[in-house]
Amino acid sequence: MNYLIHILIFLQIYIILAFSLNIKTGYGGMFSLCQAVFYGTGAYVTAILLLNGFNFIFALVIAILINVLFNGIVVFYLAKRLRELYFTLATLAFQIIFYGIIYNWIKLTNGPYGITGIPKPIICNIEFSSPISFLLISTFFVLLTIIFFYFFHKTYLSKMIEATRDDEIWVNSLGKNPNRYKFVSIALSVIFATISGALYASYISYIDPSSFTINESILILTMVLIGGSGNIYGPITGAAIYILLPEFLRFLNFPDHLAANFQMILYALILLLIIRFKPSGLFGKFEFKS
Amino acid sequence: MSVALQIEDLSKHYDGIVAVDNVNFAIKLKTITGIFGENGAGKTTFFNLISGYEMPDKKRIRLNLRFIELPVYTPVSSIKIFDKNADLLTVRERCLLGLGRLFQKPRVFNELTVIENLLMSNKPIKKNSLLVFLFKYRVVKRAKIINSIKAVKLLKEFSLYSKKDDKAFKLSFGERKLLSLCCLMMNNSKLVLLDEPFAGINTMMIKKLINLIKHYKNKGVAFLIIEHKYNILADLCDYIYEMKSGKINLSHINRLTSY
Amino acid sequence: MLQLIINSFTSGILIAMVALGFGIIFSTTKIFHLAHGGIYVSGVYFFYWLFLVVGIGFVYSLIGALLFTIILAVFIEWLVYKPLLKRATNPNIVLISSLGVFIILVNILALIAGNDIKIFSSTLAKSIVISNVIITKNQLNNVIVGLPIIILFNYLINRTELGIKIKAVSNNLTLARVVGIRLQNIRYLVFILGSLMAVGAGLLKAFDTGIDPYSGLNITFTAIVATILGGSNSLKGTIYASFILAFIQNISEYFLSSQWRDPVTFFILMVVLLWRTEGILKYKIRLDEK
Repeated sequence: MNYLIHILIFLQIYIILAFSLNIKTGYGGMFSLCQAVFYGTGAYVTAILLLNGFNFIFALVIAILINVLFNGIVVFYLAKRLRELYFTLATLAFQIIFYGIIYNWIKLTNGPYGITGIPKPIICNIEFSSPISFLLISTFFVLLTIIFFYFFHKTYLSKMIEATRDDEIWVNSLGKNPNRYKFVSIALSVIFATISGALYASYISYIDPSSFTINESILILTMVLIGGSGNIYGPITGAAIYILLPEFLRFLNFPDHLAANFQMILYALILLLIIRFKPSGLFGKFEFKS
Repeated sequence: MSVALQIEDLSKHYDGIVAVDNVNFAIKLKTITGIFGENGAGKTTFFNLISGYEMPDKKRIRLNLRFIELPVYTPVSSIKIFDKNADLLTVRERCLLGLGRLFQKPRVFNELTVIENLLMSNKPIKKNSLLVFLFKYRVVKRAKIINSIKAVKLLKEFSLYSKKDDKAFKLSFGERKLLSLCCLMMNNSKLVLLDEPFAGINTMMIKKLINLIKHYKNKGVAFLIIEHKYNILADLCDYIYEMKSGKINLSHINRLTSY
Repeated sequence: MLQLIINSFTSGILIAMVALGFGIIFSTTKIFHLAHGGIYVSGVYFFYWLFLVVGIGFVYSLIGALLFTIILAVFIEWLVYKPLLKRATNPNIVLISSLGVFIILVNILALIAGNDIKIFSSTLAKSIVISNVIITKNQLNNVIVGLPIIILFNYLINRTELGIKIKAVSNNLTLARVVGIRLQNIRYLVFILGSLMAVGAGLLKAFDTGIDPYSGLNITFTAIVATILGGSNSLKGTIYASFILAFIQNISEYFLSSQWRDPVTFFILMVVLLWRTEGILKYKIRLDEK
């Protein structure tokens, strides 16, 4: 039973991550390989603050601020200056540099040894230490995310973000500043990734750089590509496939030491098939064209 | 009639090649002006200079467009009226003054529906839009309704209403041109630059486009059209000029010398 | 210091080989062929299998591995990239597809052969000592084998008719087709050449420090930086850039730690991207071509 809750919590964390990338890549059209940077920063900042006795909500807010101010600004600058493929490369570079920093800056992050003993969230003097109680928190946040994006999808702002993706020059010709919309989509992306990071850090109680590598960024991106973008079903589907695939293999009694590799093969195959045959993703409304 | 656009001594050269050569030009409101010339005569560069995508060598465009549509739902008008030389303005600022430009390949928001394209084409409201949105929601809602009414009205005029929920990439080439122009009308442009609008569309669409241009001319919009098809220009325009090697002949061209 | 230069020279040769391979694929097909790293390792593992498992001689194994590389390269182009070509896909999507192929290749290898590093010669490498500088036998190998290959490659591209056709396609695709160059054949050819270069480098590396399924990724990253640094259309530039990068990498390993190698490489990439593409913003591209 606990195991089921464990999976569910992970699923929720990844759903939020998928939504965070969705707003940036699906709506904003910015292909980003650095989502794990936001995720990781959220996790590390939250961890450090929680260990220093601050409460969860406070830690979350500060983490969001720091994430947006540092990482968000960098990515915004990259988005302003670079187009398409070069932007993607730059985000790749950013991701790898980030990894180098968290791995080597031992004073701050403890490097490869990671940070241990991160406390569970304490909100209003209730400690959410058991898995079920943590499930409550994560469910709260995931519902918050889904509802937020459901309503966000209907606003003019989200349409303008999509318009910027479609034709920046035309947006300019109509008198509006595309950079504003880019910034909003990046900021939203950062905010929700931070939430994911905070939940992750608090739940697992131990974080180290190996969870925030380029592989992680790629996986998050594939979640969005497989599930599809442009609506709320896409990211949920993408995250579900990613989380449930290993469970499915386990169900088939796949030998464990082979499972990890086989899972990746299967996952990559699904990705390639989707790109080939249903480029807008399983449930997406939007296809990336050149 | 007042002058919408006044250009003095406009020049642009690239690495020794002169694209636009000391052009002196004026456009009045409520007129349709046509420019024709061969490829490479500098017409698109001329448009780029006017609309702000390129910087001229010598600086002297005067944009005398003061017909800014005040946003309906802000209590106080806070848009500045730009009184400087237009060459200092950015593309966006020129648009706010009422300048609109269509491109040779019609630009639309492909993944948005036709009506969403229009709804997004309104001029931006004043800068404090976030505060307005948060605290004066009723005002914003009323504005959105007015926006939608205007969009629907425009769609009907352009006879695109039946396709209002189709995504823009599904439209044909000609329909996309119409949509582009429709968006500029939504944007309340008072001087519209049309770059080869009649290229690549069939006769019926050409007729539609001509009627629309005439219709909006009567509503006070000025048009500046680049086109190869001289016969259309002859019908449509009040003034026609020829552009050759970057220079504009400031005289009306006789029909006898048409292609 | 001299040691550093020598080390840089010998490792730079390997980087140059991979970078030239990557560069020629990128400049001709505009595909960001991340699977390059996958082919790099696949060819080597196949050689390993032929040589050590099947037991045919060195030369035959070599030929076998090269043949295998050719088949693999053609197969990937035919299966994955060609269909995408027809649909004018966003280059980012092609990149992701390439990544998918890479993941599949690497994981298949890991499944079959395990995740550990394999080295070919178990004896400690013989080395020559000149004054106070050590040159290992493997480094000499790199130079003796690698340098001629690079020179040959250069000759092929610049002096032969085939090479000129390749350059034509990379310069102006439409014109090349109009003149009668068969695009698909050139694409296959370019993939074959590039992949052979990569596997050559891989074999040299495997004899030196060994190879594991993920070594392809690292060197491909460096090769990417070299290609962009040197200009994707310039062979000479790519070669110079490879040596420069090798030098920088060795320096950073010497003064910092080996963990900083990747971040530094990518930091350079970011700087180059931001600096070089400066002319591309502000709508300098003909608007109507965008």
